[in-house]
Amino acid sequence: MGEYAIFVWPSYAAVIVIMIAVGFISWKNKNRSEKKLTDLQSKFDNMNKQE
Amino acid sequence: MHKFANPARFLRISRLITPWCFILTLVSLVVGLYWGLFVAPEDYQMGSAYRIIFVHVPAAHMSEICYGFMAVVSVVAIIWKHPLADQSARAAAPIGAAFTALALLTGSLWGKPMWGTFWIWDARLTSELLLLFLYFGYMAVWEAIDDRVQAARIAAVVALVGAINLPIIKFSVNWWNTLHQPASLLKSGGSGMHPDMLWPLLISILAFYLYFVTVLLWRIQTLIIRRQIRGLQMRLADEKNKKGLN
Repeated sequence: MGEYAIFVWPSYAAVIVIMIAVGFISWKNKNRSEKKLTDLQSKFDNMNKQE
Repeated sequence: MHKFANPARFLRISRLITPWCFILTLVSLVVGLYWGLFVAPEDYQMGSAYRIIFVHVPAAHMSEICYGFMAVVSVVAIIWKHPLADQSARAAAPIGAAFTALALLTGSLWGKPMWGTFWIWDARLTSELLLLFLYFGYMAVWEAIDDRVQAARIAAVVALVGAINLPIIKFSVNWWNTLHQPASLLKSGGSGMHPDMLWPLLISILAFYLYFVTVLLWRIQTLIIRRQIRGLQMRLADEKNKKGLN
């Protein structure tokens, strides 16, 4: 890589870090929402059963 | 097409597709980046500095594709008023903003050794920076307006107006005398790149497309589920109110 290493490595590092961050946050938010929906659904079902 | 745009059906189908997209993204990204970084030969003029194109070109390409996608689904949202179209555009915006930021960042890291400067108010660079602000503006509309229907309408108009910038980015290198080089991948008479450099670049571009699809599907799923949560919360509140009255 020689004299250009200080430009090449940060480019690849930035791409990997940002892509992982955006991907991970999106996946995490999806999982959190799915869990919240499941909890709410069971709460709703329990409420209807009690009636 | 409308059949697949049903939110419940979309959720079911996308849940089947996403794991495969994720695996393909990982494989193609590792192959493309490794090939570009370690296997592709050095350029006889630019040395190893040119290896930045294996991340810069896909990021810049996807920044435009993503905004183009938002503009198309915004047209669908305005004409057919389909909620999934609004959600798709909204889900795509942060991914597009990330691609644009990466294109600008890696471009400036390429510019320093090649042009002697990190930044210049060149037509291509300036129009790409404008694209980043358009993404921020689009996302700000969704955050600033509480009424979801009104936010969707205004955001769709912002996406459509901003689409004017796409041909400006694409043809800026032809219309004006710019420091940024003209297209070398897609030009009449075939690509000007040697296959040893072209293949890793094409694989990296494919990886970025797959990444976009994977993350977009996750984000659309989240928005659909949040809608279902809101609906359920309202039903729960109604049930509680009814019990309170009885």
